[in-house]
Amino acid sequence: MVWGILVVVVFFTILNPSFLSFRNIENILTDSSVLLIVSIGMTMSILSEQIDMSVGGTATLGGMVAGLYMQQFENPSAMQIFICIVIGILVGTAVGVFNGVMIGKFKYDFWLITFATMSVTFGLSQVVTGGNVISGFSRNFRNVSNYELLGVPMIVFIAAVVSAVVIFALRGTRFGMHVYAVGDSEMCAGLSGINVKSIRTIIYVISGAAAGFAGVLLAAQTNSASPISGSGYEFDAMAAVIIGGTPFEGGKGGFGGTVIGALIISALTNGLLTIGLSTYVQQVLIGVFILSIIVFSVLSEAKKNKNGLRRVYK
Amino acid sequence: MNSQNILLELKEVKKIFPGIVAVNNVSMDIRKGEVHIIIGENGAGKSTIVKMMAGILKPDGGEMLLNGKHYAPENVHEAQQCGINIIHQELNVMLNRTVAENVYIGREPIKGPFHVVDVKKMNRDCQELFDSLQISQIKPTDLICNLSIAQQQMVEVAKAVSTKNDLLIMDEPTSSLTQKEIDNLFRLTRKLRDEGVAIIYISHRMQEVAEIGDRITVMRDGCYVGTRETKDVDMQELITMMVGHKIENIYNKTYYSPGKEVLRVEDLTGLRFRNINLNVHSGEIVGIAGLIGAGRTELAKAIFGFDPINGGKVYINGEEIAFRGYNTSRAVSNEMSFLPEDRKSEGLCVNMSIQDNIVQSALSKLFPKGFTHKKVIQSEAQKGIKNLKISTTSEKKRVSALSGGNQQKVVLAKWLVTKSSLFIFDEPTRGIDIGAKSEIYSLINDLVKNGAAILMISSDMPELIGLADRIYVMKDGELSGEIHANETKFTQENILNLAIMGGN
Repeated sequence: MVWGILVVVVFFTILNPSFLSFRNIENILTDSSVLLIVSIGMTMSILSEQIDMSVGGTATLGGMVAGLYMQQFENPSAMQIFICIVIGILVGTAVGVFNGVMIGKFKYDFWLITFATMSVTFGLSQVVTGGNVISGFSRNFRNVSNYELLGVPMIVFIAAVVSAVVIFALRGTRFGMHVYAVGDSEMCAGLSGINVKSIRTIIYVISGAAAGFAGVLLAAQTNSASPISGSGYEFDAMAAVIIGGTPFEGGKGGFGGTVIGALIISALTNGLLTIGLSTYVQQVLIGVFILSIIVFSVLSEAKKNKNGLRRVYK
Repeated sequence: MNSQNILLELKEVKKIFPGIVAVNNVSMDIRKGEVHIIIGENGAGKSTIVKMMAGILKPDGGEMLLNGKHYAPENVHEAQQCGINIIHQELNVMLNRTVAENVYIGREPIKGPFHVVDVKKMNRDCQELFDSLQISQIKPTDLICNLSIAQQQMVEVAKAVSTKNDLLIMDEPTSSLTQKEIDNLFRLTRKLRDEGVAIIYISHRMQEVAEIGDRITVMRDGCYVGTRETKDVDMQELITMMVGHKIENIYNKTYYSPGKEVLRVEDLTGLRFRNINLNVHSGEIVGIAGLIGAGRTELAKAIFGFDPINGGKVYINGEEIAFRGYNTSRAVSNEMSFLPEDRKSEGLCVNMSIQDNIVQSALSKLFPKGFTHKKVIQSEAQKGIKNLKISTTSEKKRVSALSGGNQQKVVLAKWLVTKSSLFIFDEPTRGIDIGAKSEIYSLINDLVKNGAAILMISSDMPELIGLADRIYVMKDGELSGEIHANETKFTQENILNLAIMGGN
């Protein structure tokens, strides 16, 4: 997986030496930041052997509602910007609570619920402004993501700090161990005194909150909030998680891997851009890349398993 | 001895896994028309040997001869075509398919020009098969997931028996069966043997060994120790051969006078049980006997908070437990432990490391602030491994790599970390060899000596009688009786009677 980075990096640097320039690396980091935060929920839910398809929609809705609030201020104070961020997080949290209660407490199917939530959040995003894009935020707000400290945009620092927190939460806390246990064997976790319902609910709440937060950051970064801002992020997040070594069967992997996965995707997209390929070709190539990573990971799991391919996915 | 009689011969067969020689130059022969039992401790190589015979593993050395000819199957399919079939210890069923679909997988009867599966014929054939095997409670159209584990095992047996076999290998086939089903299986086994089929039977149940076997082969540490005719040998000699030293009186029970009451259950009613009254005191081992389906596991899971309770009361250490929002998390904080029947799917997270499994139930105790420390996890795990003599090279290895007996020890180690006052065991030594069994018994005895209260569900009668201070018997969800160890009616016959016929 680390190879993945090396391969991508070497490949594109050969084609275009400016790929490895400070400016370009900064671009790659910046472009991966929002994806990283959106992928927090995706990582946790996949670790617990489920998934959250609504992260893209939640980010979009978070961005839209926060954007609606922010656009009324020509020169917002720090407090107002803070409130705006909180609004985005709260919107995301509300979505997460819904997912969490339906899936964690009432045990509805997670595919059904998160797909439905995905639809609803995108739908609500349209409703909120009648389909219009919100743009033209004040500089103060945009600086939340774009202010450059030591030449690097704030959003990269934010993503880095958040990543560190998530990695620590998953690897160094009771909660993290519970997540892995639930993903490895829900039955065993339940019979070991772990409150599985509560863990699942918390995972979706965190996922929603993170997605909402990402939505606000995205709006600040791109100076616009549209009803399709977050569209596609759910699939990129899935890809980042899988490439990063957290397989669908749960109980294995972690957010550190997702960070690398997100960077790889970002580097890939960036590299393809620098060689001037059209966006459609880009998408095909990225899709092929993701597919080969998945096949490779399934095959190497199969080799490790005496029983071969049969036992890789339950 | 007529060499024409030998179906399968192993010559210096060897199998090596990373770090271990699982089968070490074993030579043995299997005759046609015999029931050949292979016994040995965990890690003795029994499963490995038969897996090579069945085409699941390939030998790293030596040779196998089938009817005098070189035999080296590439895979299970080839072995089956040579007439060798195996029934595994772990169930290999497709849960969401019907019984008939499972039995006839890969050889479904087809009809018509489009080769559609002839479902009616398949179900009919399956019913005929079951009738001939006197399996009455399972219908071909039942979904496997709706059957009990015992019934699923019978389906596996039927499936293996329905093909023409020269050699049928059964790995621990009786671990989930009731006495009636075991009798059925034995009748079937004898019938096949009389028809000339060779049968290899791996078992830990010494009583069965004497009852069904013609010859017994003992393995130890991957090596062949010896083969005896069943009629010539006695139990003690076999045990000595298996472990290399004498194990007498494996139960070693000490009777303490019971301390204070730890668990009391009054009129408890749940999905599969009604009006259960029982109690367990510190220093006591209380057994629960009963046929499969009596509701024992369901009762235990309800007491532990995993399944809902519909009525009655549960008191732990004298305090009543409120059922609203009761879950296993609260049970654990109430000092309860539960070791489930199926250690692989319920007792352990098999893909996780030994150390992560060992600390799993005690995380709140070990890390009250919520932050985990690798060193603490490692040292707790090492303690558990040392105290329970778990055989492994590292606490970081996956549990899936351990043998059944060692896996059960990890489950026990996990609950020991929580320092519970009540331990609920559900079939603690199922599928475990005699050496590991006696180790587990001594661990249980230590727990009791230190004041723990133990509730033990077991289908192993000698085990219950050997260990329990009192035994409750359940039948069809109700208590049919309670017998104390000091009563003269504390016998296997009486317990079985209560389990089958009920009380009053």
